[in-house]
Amino acid sequence: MSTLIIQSPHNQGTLRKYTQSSMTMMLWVLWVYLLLPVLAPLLILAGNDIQTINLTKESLNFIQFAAVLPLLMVMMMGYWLWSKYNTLLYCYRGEDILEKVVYLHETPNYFGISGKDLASWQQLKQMTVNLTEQGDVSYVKGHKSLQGHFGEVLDIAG
Amino acid sequence: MEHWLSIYLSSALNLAYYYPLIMAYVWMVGGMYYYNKWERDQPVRRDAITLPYYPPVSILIPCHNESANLRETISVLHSQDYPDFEIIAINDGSTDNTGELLDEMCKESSHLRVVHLKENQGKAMALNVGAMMSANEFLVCVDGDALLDPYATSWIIQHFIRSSHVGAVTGNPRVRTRSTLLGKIQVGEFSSIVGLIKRAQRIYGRIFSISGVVSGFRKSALQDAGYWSVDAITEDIDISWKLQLKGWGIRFEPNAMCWILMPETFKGLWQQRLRWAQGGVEVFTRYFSQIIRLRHRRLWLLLAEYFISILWAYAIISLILLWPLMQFLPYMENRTTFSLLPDSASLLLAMTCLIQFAVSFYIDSRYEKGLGKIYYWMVWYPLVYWLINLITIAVAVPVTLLRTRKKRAIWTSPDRGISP
Repeated sequence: MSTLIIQSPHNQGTLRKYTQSSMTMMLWVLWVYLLLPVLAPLLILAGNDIQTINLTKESLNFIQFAAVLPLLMVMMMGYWLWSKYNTLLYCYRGEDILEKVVYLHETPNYFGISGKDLASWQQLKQMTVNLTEQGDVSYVKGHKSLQGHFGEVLDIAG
Repeated sequence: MEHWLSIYLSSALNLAYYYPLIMAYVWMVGGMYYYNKWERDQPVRRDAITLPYYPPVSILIPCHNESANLRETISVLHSQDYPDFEIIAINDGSTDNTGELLDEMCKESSHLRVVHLKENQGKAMALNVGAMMSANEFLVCVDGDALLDPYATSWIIQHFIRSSHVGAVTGNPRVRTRSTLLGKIQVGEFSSIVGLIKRAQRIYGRIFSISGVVSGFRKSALQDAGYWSVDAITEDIDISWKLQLKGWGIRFEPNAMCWILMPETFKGLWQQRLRWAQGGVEVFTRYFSQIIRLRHRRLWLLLAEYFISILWAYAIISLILLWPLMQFLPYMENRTTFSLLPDSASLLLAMTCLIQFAVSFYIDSRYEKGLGKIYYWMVWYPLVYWLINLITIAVAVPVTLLRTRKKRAIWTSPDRGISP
């Protein structure tokens, strides 16, 4: 068995590897740049000159951020209520489903074949199935056992 | 005209900005809620779960030209920590030596059964035939190039035993191919974001799609829903909605892990994502008239989410197309002022992305150690994911609407990443 994780960077060209790594680094720089409004107060606290840091169009708007908190709380409350509703629904729905028993002995009818044929096919170890254009079984040819010599050969028309 | 254009641009800009922002918080809050409610106190997967009884299970592997990976897939399946299971491999008209390989393995294994389909019928038909040839009530479906974790079957089956209204259980796919940048981004996506979204959707009560690569089914639920649709572009999205429309529940089981191969080229990724987007649009159009009925109200949130994502894609495309026009319209002068300097809006979006990755990696680190290394590469994810999502949805809508119905969806061999 091969290893579970396939990591073969040596199968890639050197240029490709370095391009990917350096572009990822550049993207991180862009990401940090987008986070400047957060970093600016920290840099000022660290004693940096405000003129060198003043790159941001506007300072961090904490009021705007404060609006996210109630939104999150409303969302969590919504989830909680919806989850409770679902739990209650399952209590009743469970009974509905139990009433809706699907009888598997109707499976042959579903596939348009006889119960006897299906029971035989389900015993086969190896089989070849031919289907019509409509997807119906036209014939099944198979072997019940492959021990030593091929076992009992069944030719069953669908 | 000026007034309406101005309203449109303002609405499109708001949608373009707020949709990803709000959805990120919806997924994070939902994911954390799920984690606290169902996951935190559960044992991790290395502790084998004890079931009250072990019903017989059929593991179905539909395969088409899988000779490169099939031996490994089936060997790993034999190590399932489950007392009563059979493996049914469905060779769907392969043109390589998949058939011979399966016959050879069939002689060596008492668990393995092989079904050869004479012609390529598509994954959905292969699964239907596999389900028909199984005498068992519970099915686990795995792709021919995926490696199922030894405990996955037990973790999947426990949901069926615990609740009679569970029709399907979706597992936790983990990406094996991690050589390239695309591979690494997908590791992060599958390991964390996809799981986070599935957890959040479980809080809605409904799941958009099971993972076709690893999922479990109750056969009676499949029969009730009409099994897999052979004309569906993505059989997994389609069966998920069919089951839920019939009232069956779908569960997400993060402990049911499955190691998968993913594309590592742009072409492969594009084809895969376009197919997924087409599958979503197809389900949306095919079942819309049923979903809007009051009794399916629990699906409305999923429907709304998907509909808004389509609007979002077209809003951004229209903004990109209108941008040159905006430069020449005199009354748009004040609206096109654009600064490269970061403001609180960009800050909020950038921080939200980083927080989302941190939350999802925190939840998922239970299942795979060392995921933190991927964090470095995940900075690409917002750009790549949203961009691919945007373009695939925009392309998928007309392509799917113009597609001929009832046309059988057959296999094409996907890109499976860089070999070791």
